[in-house]
Order: sequence, then structure tokens, then C-alpha cells
Amino acid sequence: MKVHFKLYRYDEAKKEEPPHYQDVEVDVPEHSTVLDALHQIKDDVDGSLSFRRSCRSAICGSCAMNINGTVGLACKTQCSSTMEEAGDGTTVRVSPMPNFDVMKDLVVHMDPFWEKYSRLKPWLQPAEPDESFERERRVSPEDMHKLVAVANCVMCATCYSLCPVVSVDPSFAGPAAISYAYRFIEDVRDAKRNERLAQINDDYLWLCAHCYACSYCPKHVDPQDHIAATRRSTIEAGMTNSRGARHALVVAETIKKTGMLAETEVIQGTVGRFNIKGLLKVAPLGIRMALKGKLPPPFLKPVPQVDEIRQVFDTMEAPVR
Amino acid sequence: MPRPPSRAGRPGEDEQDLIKHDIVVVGGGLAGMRAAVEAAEGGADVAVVSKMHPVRSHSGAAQGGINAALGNREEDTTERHTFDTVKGSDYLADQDAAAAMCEDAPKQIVWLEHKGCIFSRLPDGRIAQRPFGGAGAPRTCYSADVTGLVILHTLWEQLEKHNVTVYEEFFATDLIVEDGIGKGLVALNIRNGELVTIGAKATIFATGGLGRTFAKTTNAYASTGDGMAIAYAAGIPLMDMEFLQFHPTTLKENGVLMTEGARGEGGYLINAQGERFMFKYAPNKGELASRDVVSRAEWTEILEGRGVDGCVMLDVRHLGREKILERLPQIRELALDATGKDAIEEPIPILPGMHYSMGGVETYIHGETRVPGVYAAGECASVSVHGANRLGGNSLLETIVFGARAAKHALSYIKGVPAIDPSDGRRQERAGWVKQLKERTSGERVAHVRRRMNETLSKNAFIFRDKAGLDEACNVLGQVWQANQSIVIDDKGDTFNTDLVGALELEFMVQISQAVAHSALNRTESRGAHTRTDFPERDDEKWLVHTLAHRQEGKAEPKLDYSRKVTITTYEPQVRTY
Amino acid sequence: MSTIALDTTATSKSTQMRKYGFFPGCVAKESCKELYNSTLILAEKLGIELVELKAASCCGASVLNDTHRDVARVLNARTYAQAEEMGLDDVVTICSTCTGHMRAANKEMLEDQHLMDGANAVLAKFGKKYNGTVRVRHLLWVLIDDIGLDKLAAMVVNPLRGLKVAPFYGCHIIRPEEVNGWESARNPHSLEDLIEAIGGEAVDYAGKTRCCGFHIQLEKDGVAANMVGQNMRMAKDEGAEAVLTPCPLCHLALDGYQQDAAQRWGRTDLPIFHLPQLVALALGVPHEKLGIAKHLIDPTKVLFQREIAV
Repeated sequence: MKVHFKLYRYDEAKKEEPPHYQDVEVDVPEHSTVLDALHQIKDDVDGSLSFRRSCRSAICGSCAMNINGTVGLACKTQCSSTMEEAGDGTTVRVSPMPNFDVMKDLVVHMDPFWEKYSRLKPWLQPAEPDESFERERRVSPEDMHKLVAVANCVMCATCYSLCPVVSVDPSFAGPAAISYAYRFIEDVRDAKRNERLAQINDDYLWLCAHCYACSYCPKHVDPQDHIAATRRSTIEAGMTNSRGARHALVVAETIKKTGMLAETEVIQGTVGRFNIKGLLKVAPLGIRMALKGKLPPPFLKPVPQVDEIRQVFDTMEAPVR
Repeated sequence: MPRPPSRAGRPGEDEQDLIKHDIVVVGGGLAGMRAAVEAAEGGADVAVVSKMHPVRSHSGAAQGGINAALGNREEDTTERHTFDTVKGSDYLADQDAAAAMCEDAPKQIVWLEHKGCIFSRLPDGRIAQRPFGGAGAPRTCYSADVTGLVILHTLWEQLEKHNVTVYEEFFATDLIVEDGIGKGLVALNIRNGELVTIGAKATIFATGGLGRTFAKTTNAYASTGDGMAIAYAAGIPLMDMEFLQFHPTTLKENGVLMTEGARGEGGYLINAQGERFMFKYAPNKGELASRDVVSRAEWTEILEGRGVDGCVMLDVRHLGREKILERLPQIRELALDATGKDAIEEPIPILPGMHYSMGGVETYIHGETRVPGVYAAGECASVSVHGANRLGGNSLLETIVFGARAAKHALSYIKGVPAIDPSDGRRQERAGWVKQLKERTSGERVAHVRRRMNETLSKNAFIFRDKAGLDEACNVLGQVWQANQSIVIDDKGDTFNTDLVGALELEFMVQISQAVAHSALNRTESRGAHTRTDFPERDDEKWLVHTLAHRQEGKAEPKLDYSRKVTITTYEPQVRTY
Repeated sequence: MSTIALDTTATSKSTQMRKYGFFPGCVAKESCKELYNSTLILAEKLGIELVELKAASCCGASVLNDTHRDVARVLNARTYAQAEEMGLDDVVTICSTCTGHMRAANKEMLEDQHLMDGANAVLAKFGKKYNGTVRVRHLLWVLIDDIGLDKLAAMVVNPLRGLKVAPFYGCHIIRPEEVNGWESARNPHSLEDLIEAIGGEAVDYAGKTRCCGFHIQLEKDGVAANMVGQNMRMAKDEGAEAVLTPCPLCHLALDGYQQDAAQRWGRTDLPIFHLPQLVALALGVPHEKLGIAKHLIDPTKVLFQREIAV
């Protein structure tokens, strides 16, 4: 099977030379992964191509890169499928994964990604010292089960690389780190739940736009679910004073009250009814909209049979975990 | 983790300040990180030098579990575990070391769990254990089928907790031995091409295995026997290198591992005739005999025409969808990706593949080598606890136990060591080697030399060996050794030069593969995983002894030495059947 | 339980009758009412009947999951029960967010009887029940599957004259792929096909499947403007003259924040069309009826320039 590769080449030590794509044609076996092909290129064509890789079985997380426009593990992407899906049936274009500075070819500077983990204090902090337990602490299978999805995270940074919020605001913790915070928040052996919730709450837990770009996680960790769960936990723990929490709560409130998300009330509730400074900040857009006659009604009329909706909320105690 | 001293990883700087630490660990996998944490907890100034970020280490690919006689599922004792280990080793393991490991096991598992490790649990909340090959009781503690990964994460978390310095993407190239003691390392900063000397009172090698000497292996690309080669070059012998484990269940397409846990959970091995053939070879244990027995059986079935396309079938369908998704989700996905077959619906074709090295850097019961200040732990070491064949679940255990033991010993050793001051000689030598390599314009490509080594080992040092094949292997490897002196690389740059890294790894593999082939040629018996069709019996009278391979300057072949006897304390060698 | 309910292309009763349930969502009925109106006008042109589910609630918009884990599912079950009561088995949305979340809720219940029973236990309190027969699709899918691009192209009387239109999908109409699955999430092309069918020229750019930032616009100053700006910059650099989106929330964000984004990303001034508006325009509906003059970035300029509107 012939594959036309377009390889991103760049060396940060040679900044004068801008990045460029190198064209290489290889003949690979039918079931070849992108990583297999890259190795073939390196072995027989051009050994100067640099990329990270190790296990080739999607467990070390080294080989995340941009393949034909989307990020994934090179060892888990078949040449044939990516060519068909996004490469005109002939081409595989590889470039370094976005949201990182490029070091060389497909290798990026990953320090900021690791930094996000360090901020979480990612180690167990139990209440009683280990010595109090001669044997293992007992944890029910159900409790341990909650941690399994995140335990499978191989820290490949695919989610972080795809996250549009990280791309405009590098201070955002990112899906992988938030999931790791979740791992400890839900670990019954850990004694710092509230501190961890507070830490991640401040570390822009609420900056996630739930766009599900992180659903491309090659290990099915599904960070988006853990982010939502962590948000619920912060609210349950009484951390309701952040913008994000207020936003979620007022949305829920207007849906319960009127059946719909009432835009005006949501804006006020999120920013704070008496937060003049905050309201002034969002005012310009509102004014522009008002001038065009696009202002939402200040008070929304409830939908028919809204009592049913209220009953749904009341029946299912909230916030629910 | 704190970034190393400012000069590390930053291109353009060229000072030659000496980096110094009390203890330096080479390798960031389970053994390396366990050692580093032990050292940090002991208050030492410890640093990890790793050619990858620690969580990329191949330890993370371990699937099935880690052994300990916790007795959570069935009554068990550490003595039983020791016996199983010694029998599994075909009586080549040093029994005091095996006993030390098995006795320490329960404590170490509890230690891991206390640090937050995510183990699968029994309904009553205790750590779950599954049966594994060659085990008299189910003692393999697991986390679904990603046990290596969860332990790796736990140890990495502890590194973070202790703020351990990690020289990330620093490739150790040489050990500095001066005045008869270890004084540290030379390492290449992969990111900017700088060679640095790292002074250390104690150096602990934890660099893993050498699977990439073979064409097909379960091992990562990174498993190139680095620490073994570095110690070997510095005059420390390699022990028992002929004993390579071929894991019974690997995928034909790509060599990827299918955990023994699949059989531990009740999976069958079936030949073309639909038989569970293992009972012909191991009437008692069947699929859960020790790995060498199973691999030999499978390969025999295949060679005798009862295979399917060069494979036998691993069948877990009868376990049911729920159990497979709960206990074996990773291997199901691996098989699906590689073969298109869903293990829930179909049997998976597998065959034996190069997996693990029982041999390695010669060490003693605390992980120390014969050079003071130099240690080795984990797969790169040979204590020996696995002898001629390793039981599944004992490798993860070895990393944790001996990582801790080596560090503990080092903590006490460094107290008596004055300030270290290694010379710049080794670094300059290596710099010269790099310069020569980069300047060379004609020669053989790294990959081509590697393939020649791979081919001959895969053909001649696989499950069934004989004199003719091993002679050929030694010959070819001699030529490879020669060719390695004039390899050529494409990348002449400094930034993340993986071509250079590949050349270094090739150098290492070429060196240690000589020890593998020559040790195998010389051992005229069959024991454990070393099977000689021309010497099919085990010969305790002549061969109940370890093989030591000493590197010879200017020669490919090692000098073999049989002075190291096997320590037998409790179990007299017996006939070994399963 | 219906297998059609999770399927995206099978023929439902509603398809055959050309009569669909209609869930317009919140924004299209509040600040962006012109999008709702345009939809009804388009439906008439296409000869399909959209029966609004007036008593339906918000789909949850993903935000509800941040406070309530299961309420959104039950609210949507209630909506589907309403459709069933009206004899409809296909609900059409005009919002990417609604599509994704309603389909996710449906999927959960259809794949786990336990969850279906749980939802119905709550609905029973006011005498309702969801029988699992309703399918949720975006109008975009209906246009392409039920009406067909060829037919649509034949109905065009006011072609877009090669107007360069950049598609902006909106996250929830494509991701996660297990929930939507009507087309490839990584490389969709339905909007491009539609643009070409109505006479425009589709512009390819990296931002077409990225996020507009609507849900976090109030979270931190400037973040939504940045996300909008980044995407619109990419579209503009590829030569786009306008943007087409199937989502009112994206429409609101993209239309509203380009001005704020200009400082960091440079001026882009791309008019943002919601799907029914642009299609209706191509089918000959006068632009005044579509309310596009209400947009913050006035599309009439480029329409006059290119003689698509007179």
C-alpha cells in the first residue's frame, strides 16, 4: 500500500529556517499504523525525522501528534483509515500536536502540560497515617470503580492539545489535569476533598466550554464527564460563589421556573445582579444587541405545563451526584 | 517536579558545571521510581535520569498483575510463593534472594496501596488476586489488565510529592568507575545535544529489558538494554543472559502482549483441532503452567502443523462480556485494533514472543554489584530471583522489592563516601565518539545493522536452540559488532536527535547480544526458557551454576565465567513438571 | 423501543408524512427570534410541516449537567413523550447544542432500560410516558436525507453566486461521534455540500469544527471573544466572506464577539448566517423576511455586493 507522507520539519535551534513539509512516499503493509510508517521512513529514508514513541500499544502516551488535521496516537491510527477519512485516500500529513511550542519536527515542549498536574498536588493525602493500617485500606469495588476511567489515562495530551480553551488561555488546567483532580476527589482514601475541590475550582474548572473535543481521548477516559462531575461536587460542597457555579445554578433555576434558559436572567445571575462593574463589562455587547432590537425579553413567560417541569426538578433531589 | 539545574534542557548554554547528587537512578520505570522514592524518604539528595518522561516507561505496559502472598482470595504463604518461584526458575534462582523477595512482597503491596494505588478489589474491600502461571495459589494482585500503568502512576505521584529532581530526556551513556568505585554517569541531554557528567555517590541502574534485540517483541522501542550495556562496558559482568522469556500470548501482527491474566481468568489455549493442548504438556496446570512450558508447547504445536496460520488461539469467550470488559478491557481493545477480532465474540490468534530477560547486570541480594557504589534493580538486573524462567507477576514484584532494597543499601553506603569528584575523561571520550559518528559520511545505516542482529537472534536464539543455530548467531553478531563501528546517521543536529539516540541504543544492543548468544551457545543443557534440542535434558551436575559474561576490550565475544554458584537454601532441585 | 430512534438515516413515520415535531430551543426564541421565524418560513418553502412542541423544556444545553446529573435526561424524555402523544416519531432541531444533548439523553435511555424506567417513573407523576420511539435530528440532516441536495438545488432561484461561505458546525452536532454519528466528527462535510448545492463556494479552514465559546462567555473576560476571534481569523485568512452555522448559540457568539476579538485577532467582520436563513435566501425568500438586518454584523452589505440580494 503506497502512502504519501507530508512530514512537518522544524528545528528550534535553527529559527531562521521556517517550518516546512517534507514529502516522502512509502510502501507499507496494509495494516500499518502511522507509527509503523514513520519508523519505516526513519529507518530507510530519513533518520533525521524526530518523534517521540515507545510502547506502540497505546499505553505509554508518547506518540500523540496531529495526523491529517486531528490529534491522536500515531500507534493507534491506521494509515488506511486516516487516508480514507481525511487524506484523499492517498496522503497522511503529520505535524506536531497543537497548543504546544515545537521543539523539533513532531516533538513539542510538554512542560506546561506536566505543570498542570503539579499544581494539583497529585498524590494521595490520607487522613490517618499509613502506619495505622497493617494491611491495605479497604475500599469497596464500587468506590474503586469510579477511579478506573481516569486510571486508564496515559497522559498523552491529546485532549489538552485539542482543547480550544487551552489554545486561547494557556492558564486553563485542561481536561487531563481536571480528570486527575477528579481521581483524588473521588478517592475515598483521600482526606483533602474540599481543599482539592477548592483548588480546581479556582484553577478554572469552570472555563471548560463542554465542547467535547476531549471525547477523542484514545483511552476512553471521557474527561468531559469527569469535569461535569467535579463541577457538581464543588456546588454540592457549597462553592457557589464563582462565576461558573452561579451561571450553572441560575440556568438550572430559570429552566425550573420557566422551562427555558432565560437569557437575561442568566446573564444577571451569572455576573451578579448588583455587580455593577461586571455588568458594565458585559454591557457593550448587550447595548449593541439592544440597538438592533435583539434583546431577549427581560421576563420569560413559562412554557405550558411548566408545573411538570418543576415537578421533575423537585422529584429528583438536586444537585445530584 | 523541579526542573534540573538551569542549564539542563535549555539550548545554547555551554558551561560545564558538574551536576552532583548523592544517589542517581538511571531509568524512570517502576524499579527506578521505587528506588528514588525510597531514597527521598530516606532524606538523600536523589535524582532520576531518564531518556523519557517517567510515565512513558515500559513498566506501564505490564498488564496482568503483581504477586504477593496476601492470602486474600485463598490461603497462601510466602514460603509457598518462594517455592513456586524457585521451581519456576528451574532451580537456577538464588533461593535466599527469592525468599527475600517473596517475604517482602506483602509489605510492598500494602505500601503501594497505602500510597493510593488503584487495585481491583474483592467485595469485602481487600485487594483482589487472580491465578497466574506456575502459582500454587491465586496471588497476583491486579488492576483490571493495566496493573503496570496504575503502579507507574502511583510512583510518579510520589516523585511529585517528594519533589524529586528528574533529568527528563537525558540518555545515560557511560558509567564512571574510578578508584574502583562508581562515581556517576555521563549523559546526553537529548533536547539540546549536550553531554554532561553527573557525579553520584551511588548509581542505581533500573533501565529495563532488551526486547528490541529481537525482530518481534512485546517490548517498547525503548527497551534496548541500556543499563546492562553501560555496566557491561564499565567492567561489571552480565549474568544468565541466555535466559530469555518468550511470553506465550503475543499478537502475530505486531508482537503486542496479551496478558497471562487472560488465562488466569479462565481463558483457554486451543490448537487447530480445537483441543486444549496444554494438558498434554502440563497435565495439572494446563494453561497455567510456567511460561517456558507453555511457550514450548505452543511452538511445538505450531511446528508440528496443529497451528492456525502460525498461531494458536486464545479463547476467552466463555468468560462472558461483563467479565471481559471488567477484567480484560485493554487486551480486548489491543486485539481489536490489531486483528479486527473482538475477544468477546471470537478467539484471538497468538504465538510466543520475545518478552523478558531473566538475565542482566550481576547483582547480589541487596541489588549491589561487585563495584561499590553501583547498583541495579528490576529487569536490567539479575539477582537472581528468576533463574532460568520467571513466573508471571514476579517481574513487577521484583521492581518494587529490589528498587527499594537497592536504594536502602545505597542510603547506608553513601554515608561512608566522601565528596565525589569524577574526572571529565569519560565525557570527553563519549563526545569524541559522537563527533566521529556525526562526521562519518559512509557506512551502514543504524536500522540495517539492527535488522541483521534482530534476524539472527529471532531465528537462532528463539525457543528451540541448537549448536548450529547459535554458532551462526555468534558469527553474524560478530559481523554486526564490526559493522557497528562504522554506522552512519542522517541527523547531524543537536536538537532532539533521535538518530543519535538510536545509534547509542544500537551500540548497547550490539554489545549485550554477544553475551546472549555466546552464553546460550556455551550452556549445553536445557533449563527453564533455554531449550537446546541437542541437549534436551537439564544437567544439574554440570550446569547448576550462573553464567557470567565479562566484556573483552576490542572483541565481540565475552569471556564466560562460571564461578558464581547458585545459592540453595531450602529446596533441593527436583524434576520439574506442571 | 425503536431502533430508528438512535439511527440517523432510516425512514420514520414523520419522514413519510413530511410532518415533524419541532424543538426550536431557547436562544432562537429569545434574543435571536429571527432564526425561529426563518425556520418556519423555510419549512413552508420546502413543503414540510414543523409542529412545535410548545410545552417542551430546555434540552439542558450541557450546562444543566453541571448541577444536576439526571434531570436533563428526564426533561428530554418528557419532550419525547409529547411528540409521541402527537403521533410524531421525529423531532427536528435547529440548534447544534439541542441536537447533541437531546440525542445523548435518548441514547442513554434506549441503551439502558434502567435509565428509561427511572425517567418514566418521574414522568408517571404527571401521567406521561416515553416509549422510546422518537428520533432527534437537526434540520440540516433532514434537508440532506429527507429532501435531498439535488432536489434542494433544483429549488434554488437565488443562487449564492459563488459567495465564499465558511461552515461552522458547532461542537454538539458532531461530537461525541457515538451520540451523533450522522457524519464523521473529525472531518464532516455536510455544510460544505449544502453550501455548494445552493450556489456558494465552501471554504475549508481548521476552525470549522472548533468551539465558539458560547458556554463560557461570562466566565472570564475576553475568553469567548478569543475563541471566536481565533476561528474567524482562520476563516477570513482562507478567503471567507460569510459564515454558515446550524447553531443559534454559535450564531450569537460569532456574530456578537468579532468586534471584541478584533483587538487581538484583527478585524474579520464576517456575517454569520444561521442555516435556515441562508437556505431560505437561496430559495427566493426576500432577505427582509429573514431578519438578517438584526445581526450585529450586517450581512446585507455582502449580499448586495454580490447581487444575491437586491
